[in-house]
Amino acid sequence: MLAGALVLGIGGSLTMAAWTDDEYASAAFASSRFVVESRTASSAWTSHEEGSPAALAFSATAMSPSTSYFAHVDVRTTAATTVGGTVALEKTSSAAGPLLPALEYRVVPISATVTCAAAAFAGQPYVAISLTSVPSASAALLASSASTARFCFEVRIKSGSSGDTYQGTTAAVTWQFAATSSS
Amino acid sequence: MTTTTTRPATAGASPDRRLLSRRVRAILAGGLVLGIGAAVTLAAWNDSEFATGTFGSGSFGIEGSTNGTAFADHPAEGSAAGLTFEVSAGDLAPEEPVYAGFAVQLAAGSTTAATVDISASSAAAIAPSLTYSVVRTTAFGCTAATFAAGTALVTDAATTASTAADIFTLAAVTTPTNLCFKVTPAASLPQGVAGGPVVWELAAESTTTLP
Repeated sequence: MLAGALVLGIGGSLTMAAWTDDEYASAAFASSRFVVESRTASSAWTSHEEGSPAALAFSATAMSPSTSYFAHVDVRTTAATTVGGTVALEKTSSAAGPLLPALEYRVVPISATVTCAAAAFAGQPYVAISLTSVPSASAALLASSASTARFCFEVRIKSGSSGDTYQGTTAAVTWQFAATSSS
Repeated sequence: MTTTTTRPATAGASPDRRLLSRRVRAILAGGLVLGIGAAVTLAAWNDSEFATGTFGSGSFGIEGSTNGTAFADHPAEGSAAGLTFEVSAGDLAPEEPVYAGFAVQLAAGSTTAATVDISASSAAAIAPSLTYSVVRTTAFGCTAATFAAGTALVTDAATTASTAADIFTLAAVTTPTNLCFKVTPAASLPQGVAGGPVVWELAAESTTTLP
């Protein structure tokens, strides 16, 4: 009785066979690109890593108290970059020299068509150069070099700094800008 | 996964409870996976740029001379240059001025120009009876004639305590500015009053960077 039912079952399934057809869907995947490059008044567009930073053109070799020196750095995405993002002043990655305690600075993001000068800093406070904090400064970046963010720096020797201590001394500072893609 | 299909009747949790507990865990696990997915979506590409600035301070100093040729630094009141008055200043008479020259210049190697203030101070008993004036002369030398020809910088200021700000500028190194000091005793100068020094401080403040 059971064997008979089994045979019947197989017959039924054969009767139910029909035409078959398949569909396939495929997708290609690729990662986006996000690379930034920078330039200053004295260096061309290229990726400036920590070992080869862009030199800010301060021409500040003979500073005196309360005399301001200005320089800018421009940041944009590379031509091959496919996503936009933001760039912000991340930190002071190195700062050294006997003149350092006498220096103060401020930084603002400005349009790349604007000259970096005193007028850019409406009411911004000066801050000391510190390895632990930097002023807040950020700007948006479009993909494929479509926009340029300019950061304007003003550096000076604090008013009242003792000439006996600081005259004829030097300092060097490196700032890091961190760019993050929007997606 | 294996599950037991038979349980002792005395099992602590009912089969329904266990099933529910497993479902809750499964849902939680699913939630965790979703959380990781979300975190990955939020991550973005990062790239950094570095910019560096180099800074150096300038040098700045002034030096003075009482003869117009030998300049030296007189950095403190205690080492002030002694002015040589043409007529003895130790024997003053009312309204009979005395004259002395002084020259000041930016020290070699200075990198900034200067603006100069002059301050007079004296605690001597004679000082309230003395006023002073300063003119700039083209050449070093200070007499009544050269004083009259000079450009007035300070006129009839007190010697006890007075300051004249920004009276002249120094815009090139080792280029002296020649000054002629005139000290005038008042008509009311008492006879035999105790004399003493008057100290003039020339205070230079750096301004613009020299070309």
